[in-house]
Amino acid sequence: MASVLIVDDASFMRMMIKDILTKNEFDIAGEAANGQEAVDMFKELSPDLVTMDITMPEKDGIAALKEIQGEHPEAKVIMCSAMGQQSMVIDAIQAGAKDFIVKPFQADRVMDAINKVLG
Amino acid sequence: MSSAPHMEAQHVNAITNAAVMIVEQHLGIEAKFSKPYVSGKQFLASDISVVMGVNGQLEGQIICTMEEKTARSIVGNMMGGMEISVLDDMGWSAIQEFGNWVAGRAASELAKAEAVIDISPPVINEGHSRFRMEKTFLTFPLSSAAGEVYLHVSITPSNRS
Repeated sequence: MASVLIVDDASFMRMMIKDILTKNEFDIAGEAANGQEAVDMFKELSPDLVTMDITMPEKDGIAALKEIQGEHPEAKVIMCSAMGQQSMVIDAIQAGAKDFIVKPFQADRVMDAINKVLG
Repeated sequence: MSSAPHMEAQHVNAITNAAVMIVEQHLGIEAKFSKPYVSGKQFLASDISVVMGVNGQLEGQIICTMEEKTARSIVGNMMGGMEISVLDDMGWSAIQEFGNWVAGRAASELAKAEAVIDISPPVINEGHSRFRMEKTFLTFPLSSAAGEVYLHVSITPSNRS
């Protein structure tokens, strides 16, 4: 079963995403609360997929995405952000994100994106 | 005495539309703004305040305030219709995220009005507080079945843009 690293500074959002994933029989590789934790945990855990928030303290999600992609070009990262303006989506996709989910989201949207990326 | 702040109508509309979209479309709570008013350079906030900084082509703050029972009702909706009697750590995180959703959607709506902004991670203030600022705030009362939510907005074009 595919493993997922959940990255979001809000414990509420981590809980929501974890709930969606566990109901769909995914393994939770770990949870990170900022971009730096995400970079460190990716190295340590090598998850199959990462869900990455953007607006976070210490290191934002775009910076973490670039760092992860720089060291692991095969990494599969889906951005999950409330900041859904076009320029942000383009930045993320250019930095290597596989998809971009705008918060708040429905569970179906999350699963569609994950299944497509892991497909 | 505070004069009306110089905020462009399209920017203000983008922010209020964003709040209504989040409350109505995502939380399924009917909501409507009543007449905005000038709060001036200070205002007394309700039980809970979600404070968000705005940077980019516009700069300033969006402060979202509400009574605790309104926050509990919103959090209950965010958690799929649960009855929330006390805001625990997860509840506080949820109300912080509610502010993030409103500000994030506002950023998307502002982009349509050709104003690119970024939002700082929200900070929660608990308890009645008097906020004092250099710039003037406009207050937008949003009435809903969950209770009243007040959006206090002060955004002006950035000198750096």
